[in-house]
Amino acid sequence: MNRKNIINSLVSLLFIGLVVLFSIPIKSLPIIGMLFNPYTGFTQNARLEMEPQEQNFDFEELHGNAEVHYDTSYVPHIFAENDSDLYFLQGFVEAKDRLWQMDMQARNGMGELSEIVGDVALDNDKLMRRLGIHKAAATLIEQFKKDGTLATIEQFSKGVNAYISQLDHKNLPIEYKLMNFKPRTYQTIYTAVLMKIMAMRLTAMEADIENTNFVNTYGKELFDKLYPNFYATESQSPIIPSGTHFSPQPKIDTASKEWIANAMFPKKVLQHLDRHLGSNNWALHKSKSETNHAILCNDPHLKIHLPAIWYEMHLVSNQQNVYGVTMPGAPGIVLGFNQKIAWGVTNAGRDVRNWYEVQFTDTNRSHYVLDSQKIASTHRIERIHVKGKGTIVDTVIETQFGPIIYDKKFTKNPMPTDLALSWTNYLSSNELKTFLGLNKAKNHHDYLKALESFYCPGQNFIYADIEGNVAIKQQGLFPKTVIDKDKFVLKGNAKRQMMDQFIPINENPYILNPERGFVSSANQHPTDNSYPYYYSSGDFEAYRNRRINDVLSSKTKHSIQDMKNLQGDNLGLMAKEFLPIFLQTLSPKNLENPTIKELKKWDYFYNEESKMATFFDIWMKNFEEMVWDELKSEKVVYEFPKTIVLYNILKSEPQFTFFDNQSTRAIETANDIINQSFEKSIKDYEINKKTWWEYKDTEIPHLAKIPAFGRYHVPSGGNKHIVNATWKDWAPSWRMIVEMKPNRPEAWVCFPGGQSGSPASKFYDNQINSWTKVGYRKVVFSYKPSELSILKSIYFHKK
Amino acid sequence: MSNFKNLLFFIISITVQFILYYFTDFHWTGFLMLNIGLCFFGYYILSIPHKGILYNSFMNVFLLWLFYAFWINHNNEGIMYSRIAMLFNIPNAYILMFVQALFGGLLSLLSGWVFVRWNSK
Repeated sequence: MNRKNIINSLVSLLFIGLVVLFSIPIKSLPIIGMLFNPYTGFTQNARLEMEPQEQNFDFEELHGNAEVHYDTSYVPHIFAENDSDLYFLQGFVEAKDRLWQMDMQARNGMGELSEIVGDVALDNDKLMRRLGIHKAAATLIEQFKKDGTLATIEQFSKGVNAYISQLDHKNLPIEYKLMNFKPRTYQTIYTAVLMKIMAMRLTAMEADIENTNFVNTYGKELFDKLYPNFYATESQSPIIPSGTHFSPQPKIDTASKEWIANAMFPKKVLQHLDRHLGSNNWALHKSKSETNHAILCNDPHLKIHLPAIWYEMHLVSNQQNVYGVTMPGAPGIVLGFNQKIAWGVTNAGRDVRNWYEVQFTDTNRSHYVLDSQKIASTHRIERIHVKGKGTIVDTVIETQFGPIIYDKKFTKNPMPTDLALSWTNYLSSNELKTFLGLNKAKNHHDYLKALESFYCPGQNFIYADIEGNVAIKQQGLFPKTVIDKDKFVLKGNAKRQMMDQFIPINENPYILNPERGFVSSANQHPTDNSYPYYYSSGDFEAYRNRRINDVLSSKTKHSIQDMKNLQGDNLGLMAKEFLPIFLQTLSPKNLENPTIKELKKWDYFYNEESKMATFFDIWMKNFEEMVWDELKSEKVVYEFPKTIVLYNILKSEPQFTFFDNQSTRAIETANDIINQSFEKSIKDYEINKKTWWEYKDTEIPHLAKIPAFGRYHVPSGGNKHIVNATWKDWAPSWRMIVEMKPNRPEAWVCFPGGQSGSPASKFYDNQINSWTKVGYRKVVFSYKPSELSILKSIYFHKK
Repeated sequence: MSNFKNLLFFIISITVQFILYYFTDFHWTGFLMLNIGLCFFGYYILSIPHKGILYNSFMNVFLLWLFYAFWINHNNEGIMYSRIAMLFNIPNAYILMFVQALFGGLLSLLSGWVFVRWNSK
């Protein structure tokens, strides 16, 4: 080979080498060549935003012609001749705007994320498989078949797949290009998975493991004091007003102490979900409304992200005309209104999960003890495909109590014992049927009928109609149990410990047109303690509900503007209650601190620019940390008692033993801790004296945590336990106010994000700035396309 | 005459690159294969010298990508390019466009060089 050929070969090799290098994903990097080529990569995602104003599609699955018109807020209004076409087009349009999000949500629930992101998601996948979300979804599909809702999901899925099948590689959502995978055929089970995942997020709120540790350390008497079933009367305002008559209460037994597991559970094992999720809803009877029409308001608080949690739509067919939001991946409207009624939800938060310490008889865990009998367990083999690592096998052991979730093999932080989970999310129900029923409901009777099939998660369904009626029902399948049985990890050795009895659906808390002229809920106790069944929650709210009910009761009639003001209300009731006590208790020296002067002027509002909101938040956190120092163990997990419980103890028992600081020889009282926490907080605060929004630092991250696709340092007021529950990364995910005008309802909405799932679109995050200021957009509830200001249209024809 | 041929070659190259990519769902390496095909056409049909082949290989891709990116970015109000620039720690959208065009241009130049090396006497 001569010199020339060697050089030729080297040049060729360099060329081929570079092409190969830019064609393969190295570690987590995308395929650089594909991404940077403007005809295949991210440039094409920007080009897609230049789509023509009119498009046409022909599909065999359609029965007639249909139209989709996007209005100037990029809300699709689907006009179809029948429901079958309507749900097909809903699937098509949701996929068009949110395909990657739908895909990721399904993979998350199916426990298949590792397949695309590698072993960083392995623990999550294992947890999902052990929880059996996919198995529960399969049960739901069976129920869909029985109830006739399967056809709806099938049409929806066909619509999604019709979109996927015409999608060129260059038009894939940008996240597929960055993460280097492709969309797969959409299956009906993915919609069921989505519903089960939502139920998981809204029910995994119990603190059984923490409670068990506490009761095994400090005893039952102290537990009852610090974790009571009901808060002090003045600290609660239940959903069904106190004093409402319930059927007489039979005596309810208390669970035996012998039932509670003896183990102490370590700290690092728990895969806790965010427990602060909550929501507000209220509805004014027409007599309480300045407009003389019922008004319904709803703002569900969730962990927010981009693309936005919700997707706003208007669905019109010969059988319905409904407007609102849906979760991408679900047919129908989840929260919204039609020509006759409006509805919304908040989370009931009731405990519907029991944990059991199962006693296996052998190391293979093939048998366990139940009522002194040896019972065979079943072993479910889960194969998890991990990108770059092959297949990992996890054996999930199923018992009569439920699947074993935590054990010695779960993660690198093992649980010392085998814990099985019993959960209403595993039972056969049909939550989708409820939403589809509400979409078409015409009156109060239809609303109650639609709720019947809704079991999990327990929700407070609020209702208003064009007749001016309002109602609220806490709907779900809730365990009928003896007192405290649901609060602890139980010994899994007897059938009597099982979760096998349920409160009859028709005895769930419910009220229609109450005397006070409004109905409301904000994750608080549904009733006072005269309700004939025992229930509990890991997280009943104590502040937002009282503020809402106070404001609604403060005037004879309210306007739409009042409702907007209330959804954006920043009053911190907790600060209003604690701060006067704190200030009374401070030493003369501390009272001379210049911050006190400012603090005394503070109106307790957590507005964006408030610095005293920042200071009080720091002070409150330090105070709680110092009071509950006994519960800050490095090894064992405990939960701090609720702030409202601390408030009542502070008022009544300032010498309470927990006020003592464990790290000093002296015996401290509440006064000492208030002063010590103040001194520490002044130091913390004076480091940079941040305004409330700077300190709180609200963010709306991208679903896959791609920093360039998220929004950070978002200026906003509000806080947890405040009606405007905008905290760091969870917040009102959808604000809706509907006035039930008889000829045509009117609505005002906003949400933290935008309609499009594409980071290339101006509709990806365009509503955030308005949302942070609690601004609203009036929706166009059109009866025909000619009433719309149209941005773009898609025409569909039968092939 | 040679200037005219070079210009003609450039116009044909950029048009073919644009049309084939714009209307089809090509693999990302397609522009390199196309360029090699164009090199054959330029060298053997239009008798473009090696220097012209190399110059054209770089320029037709560099300019096409740069102007295409500029046009798309302008219509997209800079949204996507700003986000991707942020993703790769590139100071702004315009530098990203330049980097993108240079990336394509240099790879295309390399493909032209391979052609030239194997088609020289």
